[in-house]
Amino acid sequence: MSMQDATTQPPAERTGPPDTSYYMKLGYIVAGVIFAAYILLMLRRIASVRRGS
Amino acid sequence: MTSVSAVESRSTTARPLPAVDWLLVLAVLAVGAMAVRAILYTPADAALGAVQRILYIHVPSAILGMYVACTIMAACGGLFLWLKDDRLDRISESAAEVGFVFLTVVLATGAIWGKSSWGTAWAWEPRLTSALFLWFVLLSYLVLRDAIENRDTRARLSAVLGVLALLLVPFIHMTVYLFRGLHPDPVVLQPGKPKMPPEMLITWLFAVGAFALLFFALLRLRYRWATARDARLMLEQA
Repeated sequence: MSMQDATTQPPAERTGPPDTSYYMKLGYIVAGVIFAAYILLMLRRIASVRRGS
Repeated sequence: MTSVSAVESRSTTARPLPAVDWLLVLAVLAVGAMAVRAILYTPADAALGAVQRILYIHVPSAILGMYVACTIMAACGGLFLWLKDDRLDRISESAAEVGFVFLTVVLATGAIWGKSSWGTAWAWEPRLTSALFLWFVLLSYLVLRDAIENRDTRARLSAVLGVLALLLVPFIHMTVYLFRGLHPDPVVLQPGKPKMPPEMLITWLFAVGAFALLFFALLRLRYRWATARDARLMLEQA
C-alpha cells in the first residue's frame, strides 16, 4: 500500500470498551484514603491510651 | 451464677496493646496485592471499561460493612441485653464503627462508578437510598454512644438500636428484586452460578478474602482499644 493510499483511508472506528480508567483510579484512591484515615485514627487512639496508662 | 461485678472485672482486664499489629499489616498487604492483581492482571469489562474494577472494592466492602458488621453488631447487642457482659457491648460498638467505615467506602465507590456508568453520582433509587439509610442508622448508633454518659444506659440503648438496624439489611438486599432501579442485580450473591468470567471471579474471591482480613483486623484492633479505654476509665474512677 502506497503512502497516499494510507493517508486517504477513512479513520478507523473506535472499538473496545470506553476509557474509564480515570474513574477506576479515583475509586481506588478514595477507598484507600478512607481506610488509611481510619487506620491512622486507630493508631492515634492507641497511642493516646498508651500515653495515659 | 456469675454476678455482674464479677463479669465486669473479668471483662475489663485489658491485655497490653501490641507495638505492631501483624494481622493489620498482613491485611493491608493483602488488600494492596488485590489492587495490583485487579488493576494490572484482570481484564476490564467489555462494556464498562476499567471502572468495572471498582467492583473488587465496592462489593466486598458491601458484604462486610452491611451483612457481616450489622450481623455481629445485632447479635452481640442482643446477647448483651441477655447476658450483660461488657465484652459483647464492646464487640458490638466495634462492629458498628468498622462497618460504618466499610459502608462509607461502598457509598463513595458506588457514586464514582455511578458517575461513570449512569452519568450521575447519585440517584434516589431503592438500593442506593436504603444503603444511605443504613449508613445514617450506623452514624446514629455511634453518635448515640457518644451522647450518653451512663455506661449501662448507653450499652442497653445502643444494643436495641443495633438489633433494629439489622432489620434493614435483608430489605436492602431485596431492593434490586422488589423495585425497578438503576442498580444492577447481584452477579455473585444470587441463586445459580456466578455471572462472571473465571479470571474476574478469582480476583473477586481474592478481594473478598483480603477485605475480610482487613475487616477482622480492624475489628480486633478496635475491640482491644475499647477494652484498654474501659480499663483506664475504671482505674480513674477507682
